[in-house]
Amino acid sequence: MKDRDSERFIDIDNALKELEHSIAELTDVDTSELREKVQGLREDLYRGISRWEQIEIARSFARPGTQDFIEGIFSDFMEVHGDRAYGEDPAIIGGLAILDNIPVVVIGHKKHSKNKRDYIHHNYGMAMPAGHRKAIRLMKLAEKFAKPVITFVDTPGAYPGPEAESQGQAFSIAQCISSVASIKTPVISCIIGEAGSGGALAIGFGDRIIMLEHAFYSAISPEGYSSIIFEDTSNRKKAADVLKGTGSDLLAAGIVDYLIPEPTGGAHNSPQLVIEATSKVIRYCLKELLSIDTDMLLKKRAEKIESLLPKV
Amino acid sequence: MSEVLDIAMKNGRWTECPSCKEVIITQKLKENLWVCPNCGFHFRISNDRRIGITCDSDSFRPLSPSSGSLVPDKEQGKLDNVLKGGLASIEGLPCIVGVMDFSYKGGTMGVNTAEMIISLMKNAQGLEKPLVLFCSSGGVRVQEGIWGLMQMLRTVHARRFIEDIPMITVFTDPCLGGVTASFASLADIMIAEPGARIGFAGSRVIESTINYKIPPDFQNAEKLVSRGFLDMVVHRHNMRGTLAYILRWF
Repeated sequence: MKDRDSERFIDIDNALKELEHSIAELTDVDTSELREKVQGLREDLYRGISRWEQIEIARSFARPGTQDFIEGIFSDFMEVHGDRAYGEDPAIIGGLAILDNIPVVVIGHKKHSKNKRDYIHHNYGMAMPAGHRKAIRLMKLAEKFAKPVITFVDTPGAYPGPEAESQGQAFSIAQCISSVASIKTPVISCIIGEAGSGGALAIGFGDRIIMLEHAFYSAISPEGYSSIIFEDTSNRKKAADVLKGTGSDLLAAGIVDYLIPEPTGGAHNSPQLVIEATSKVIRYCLKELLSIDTDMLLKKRAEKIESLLPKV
Repeated sequence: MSEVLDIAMKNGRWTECPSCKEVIITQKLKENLWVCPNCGFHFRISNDRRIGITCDSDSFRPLSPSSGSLVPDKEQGKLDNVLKGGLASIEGLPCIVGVMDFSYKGGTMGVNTAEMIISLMKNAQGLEKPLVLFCSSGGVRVQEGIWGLMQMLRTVHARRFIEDIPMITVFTDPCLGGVTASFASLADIMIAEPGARIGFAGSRVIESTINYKIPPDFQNAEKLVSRGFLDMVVHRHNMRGTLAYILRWF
């Protein structure tokens, strides 16, 4: 099982799913034993998976996205649009929502969609400067009316294109990071999928950071790292081990506060379970953060930022 | 002839301009502050040279980071050379100067680099002196993984705490990724050298991601000024004068 090809590994997973479907179609026999067997096979398949395989799970198209989390957690979500300066970027969605009767502001990368056209429309969650500016103006709105902010991070990175550059991508990210650091209201950040580089950091920090087990948060994609350090992308598995960006890595590093375990094979095998678990932790954090006064909140956040150093 | 040229280039007496390919006597180039006398191309220079041509002679006093959190560079066994900073004066006006050097690890910002930047900011605040940062970097040091990325947040946060201290960024070729996308672009005044490439994604990343052929003026300083992101482009010959004007104004 050590040197399995990761593409084949996804194939096996799909085959297991097909098998499960076929089993479900059987009517006149007791299928519980068969189902257990398939589950056993799946557990074997995923036992001791490598970081690279975890990234494959984090990128899986079947994985629940920001939209699923928003629908599953908040009782009411009203999307708002535009950065009030230049444009509207569908890669970052944001709006007003209610959680346990508490009005909150929600911001997240919209990477996952139902069909290919939507994926393209939302640019696979790769934000333009307008998206970062939308996030900034929503944070300012939250601050002005003392509402907590909840962010969902799921992006390969900020969009690396000529339009984004000419609209000031780097400048918008810097301002967005600055907003997250300074906003005078609680921020909870959930890392739910792939969280790549500055684009992820733009909304990927908060007073509490929650991360899914197989989500991957890093300065660069393993392919990018491999092409910089080893001159081609073939060493991506090795790169993934160097980058150490999975949920458990970051929990151990002290960057992430809460880890949400995923069912065998990844969140997509039981999205409801994962979303409910995330929801519980968000509620808990929110209650905790709302009981702290603003000065203390900012002081704690400053300490948290200043301590972002490797523990020697 | 070409052999003679090769030897002269190898021993450093002559230098070829990467832009117009003119071969220049190195001494002349040095006197011209490492700007090609033929086409005006601004050579990338080391932080020592930069300090030499920017600060008043012998005014530079290096500052070492005050905090004890610096960790020795694993590969080199010594402290980070990307950033050199200290107290100096420009036309007699005291300020804190920090210079990033692209020739060391692509000027990337690792934990130690960030420590230096934060320490310069704290010194600027402690001494109540303006901060002048020459930024040139390939971005975050990816070898340091998530910690490299988090330094963007730390430097941005540190910048917020010295909001009443004037900060001037001078972008020099090239400045990309996590440095442009963090503390560097949060300055009060932002200047660039002519032709400097400034942006977020590097051209290789853009070309490979979306199959787009990069035009020559892409991400250059002049374009960023016309787009409204930078205050001005300043020729290296006028840099001291411009900085002095700004320092005097503050």
